[in-house]
Amino acid sequence: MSDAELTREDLFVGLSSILTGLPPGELKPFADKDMLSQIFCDKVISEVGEDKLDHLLERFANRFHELVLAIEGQDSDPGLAALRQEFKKLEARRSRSLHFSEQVTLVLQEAKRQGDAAWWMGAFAGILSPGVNAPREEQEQAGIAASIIKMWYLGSWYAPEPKNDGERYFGGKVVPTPAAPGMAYVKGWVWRVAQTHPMGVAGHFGALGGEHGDWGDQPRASLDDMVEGK
Amino acid sequence: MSDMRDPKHEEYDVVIVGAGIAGGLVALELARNGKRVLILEAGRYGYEGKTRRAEDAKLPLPPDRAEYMENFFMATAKTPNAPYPPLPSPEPLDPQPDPAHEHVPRATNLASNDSVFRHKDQSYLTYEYGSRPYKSGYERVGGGTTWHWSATAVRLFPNDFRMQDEYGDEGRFSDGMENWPVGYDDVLPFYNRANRLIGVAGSREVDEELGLPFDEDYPMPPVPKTLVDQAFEAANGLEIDGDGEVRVTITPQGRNTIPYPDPKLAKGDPALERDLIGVERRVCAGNTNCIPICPIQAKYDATVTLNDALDTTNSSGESMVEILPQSVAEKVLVDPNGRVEGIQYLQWEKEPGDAPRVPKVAKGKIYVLAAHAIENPKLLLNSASDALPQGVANSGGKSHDNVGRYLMDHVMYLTWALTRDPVWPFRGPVATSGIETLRDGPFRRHRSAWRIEIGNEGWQWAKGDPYTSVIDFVDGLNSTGINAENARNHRRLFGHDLYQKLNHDLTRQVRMGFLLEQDPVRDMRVMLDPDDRVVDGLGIRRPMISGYGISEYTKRGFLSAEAASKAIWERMGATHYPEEGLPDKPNFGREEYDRMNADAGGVGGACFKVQVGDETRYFPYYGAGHIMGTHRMGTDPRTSVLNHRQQSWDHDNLFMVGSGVFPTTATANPTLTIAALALMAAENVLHDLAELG
Repeated sequence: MSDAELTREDLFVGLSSILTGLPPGELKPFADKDMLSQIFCDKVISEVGEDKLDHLLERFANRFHELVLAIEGQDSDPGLAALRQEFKKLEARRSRSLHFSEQVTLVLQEAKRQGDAAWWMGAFAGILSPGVNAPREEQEQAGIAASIIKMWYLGSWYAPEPKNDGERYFGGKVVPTPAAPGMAYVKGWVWRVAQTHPMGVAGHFGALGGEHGDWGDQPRASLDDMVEGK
Repeated sequence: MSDMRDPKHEEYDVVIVGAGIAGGLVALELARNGKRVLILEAGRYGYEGKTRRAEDAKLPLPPDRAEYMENFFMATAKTPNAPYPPLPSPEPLDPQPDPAHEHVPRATNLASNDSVFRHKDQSYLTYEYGSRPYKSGYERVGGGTTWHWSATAVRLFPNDFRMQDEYGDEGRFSDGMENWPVGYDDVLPFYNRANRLIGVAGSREVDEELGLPFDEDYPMPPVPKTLVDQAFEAANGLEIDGDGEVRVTITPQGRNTIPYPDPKLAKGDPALERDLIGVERRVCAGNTNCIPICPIQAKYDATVTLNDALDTTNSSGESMVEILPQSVAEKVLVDPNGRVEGIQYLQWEKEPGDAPRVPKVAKGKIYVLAAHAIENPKLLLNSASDALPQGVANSGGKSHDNVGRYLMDHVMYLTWALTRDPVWPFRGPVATSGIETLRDGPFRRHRSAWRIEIGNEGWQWAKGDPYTSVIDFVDGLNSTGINAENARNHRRLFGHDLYQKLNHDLTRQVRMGFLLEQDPVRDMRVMLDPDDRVVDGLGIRRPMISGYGISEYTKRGFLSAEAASKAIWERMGATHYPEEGLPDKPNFGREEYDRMNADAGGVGGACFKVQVGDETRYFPYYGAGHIMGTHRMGTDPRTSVLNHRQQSWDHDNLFMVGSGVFPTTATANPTLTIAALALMAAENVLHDLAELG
């Protein structure tokens, strides 16, 4: 991985993927007509400023870089060894070194497969839960990271440091999407992980809803199908 | 006022105030019988029909479903009122808009919150000291509150019409209990017509088994049950305190299960066929969004009827019905002989914006007030004059000081749980099944009855989900009651753990809403705010709620609902939340009660306590959106505003329709009965027009 080649948006998508558990190819699809990752990245900047976002992304990039070095190194830890295998397999298939988003995808897939054994995800848990004694800047970054997760799931921006519980729960504002108002709400991932459609938009996501009476049967799409955009 | 239209005619057969379901059905009936009708609609009206008159294209500010949907998408709090103008504040924490600057303000859910309802610059309804908040709201747009109704089209039980006769011998009711002046058999033919005109999907067999006499099938087959409904069937046969057995049944609903209306369903019977014409609408696609808005109009709303009414023409092709939008009735004018001689109204062009005060008068032979159960009494009281000092239909004729009294709702006991196995809520219509078997019985002598609505929208109403769960899991908090352990350990979920947990819980969320009868209390009422400076943007005085609260009879109903809820969850093997004993989220108790009352300025929030032996129990209450009473009909003019014909005791050519005419709340969601009674009233109006010649 060469940081110099990565744009801010690449890193934002990488961080978002690790935090939400959703594949980078879903957050920023190849043909990205909605451009939500760009809209959301701009939203964070407009809310907290470039510097704060960039510091958070830099911290994430460093942690991810360290993980990649460990994967590519000689560490005999079985978790890392499994990841190393996956990296090598894909590199062989591609006949080139992996792109950042491919590395993120493999890390997420392996973390899901290994579950609690994926100790190395702790490096990222620290971004969201820095501990009470962590420096002020890290505490602040944790709030921003939480707001980014909520934005992807709910389509709304929640202030990283809410003034009170009311603001925490009811203070979200739907992120405006100029081309199609309300798209951030409609694309909220919470609906997919609930294996349904956004309320008011049956048939969205193709796999679910929109047919009279389909609510009497189990959803046709499994959770994995929904998360992987099948 | 260049865009504002005037009525085309000097005088109409009938002038109707309010373009909702009641006003719409009366208009349709009259028009089909050759009568000329003018409807004054306070809010905007956008003709959604297909082609008709070119001039409709020029209606000022025609709203449409797409615009309302956009409002819905962008609203943070997707409350029943969120899509409709004037828009509530999109962020619930922001102050609500000042009704003094709105031309057509109305009661909204957000403005009924404990911390808001006493602020006259945020709540359209004002409150007399001591009153608790009235939790139900409505809409003031063409089509009325059916824009956000749930489409539940259940009918009353025969005993709902005769509570005093049936249970009055030892009745422990409040002071306003009465029989209805009409009975089930009188209303039955109109229920049939209401089913056809609304388009109700239901099962006659199921409803007959419940004890409801039928003589005509539903026009559409029932809505398929959701997996949530099927999970509740595990409670079938459960005995509740000797009062009856639980049986989950499919709810009759005003939503399409086949393309509808369809004249072929009449099978050649012309009497049926005339109710089955109109623009065909789609079948329900399960948007789970009936409240606040059906995006595809598979759910009936009153614009269906209004457009049919507008499409009714005489032999020269002239429409028999005119709707004047943005025309707010201000006063009912009465001549010295006690006959209504006109409706004075004000028009507005833009909201927000100035509306110069230019009163106009609409004239008819007969007048029908159909502006819903808060606006109707407001209009009558605001019509006070030297001759009628307490307002129209209220000033010492046969009926005195009854307007606005006996305000009621179905107050709600809300309860929620997680099922053992996934049931995949957030799919299908918002509610498709219910429990009707405990709506009637001798227990009504001492406590209010309830029906149970089973919700398909997870914990959306109960806890603001799916939003709240996401926030709880990401922030390591426990507002839902599910996330106690993570909250204790300050553990924030992310990645795969987060979406697995969301999937686990969101696919198991279920809730019940118990709709409880409120027995009529004379001193629970709508008045005009006595401060004549408390006005809306047109300068019209605003309604004040006085004396509202929960009677002892209804409190006992809550205790019974709570016990039934526990038994049903237990039978289903579901886990009830909030669980008692959670360290950071106790069950609703003294602390919550005190906090709600403190939020309400220490006077009384949407909560009450009830003594059970040595124990004090605390409950919150919610509204069902069922505003009832306030101009009720009856057999005794000393305690009613209208006779059994829904005609004013005091003014022969004045009728009123809508749930304001209900003498009691009964146990059914009111819309189907509103429709049936409006059709009955239309028949009476036609009769009187014939007599007038």
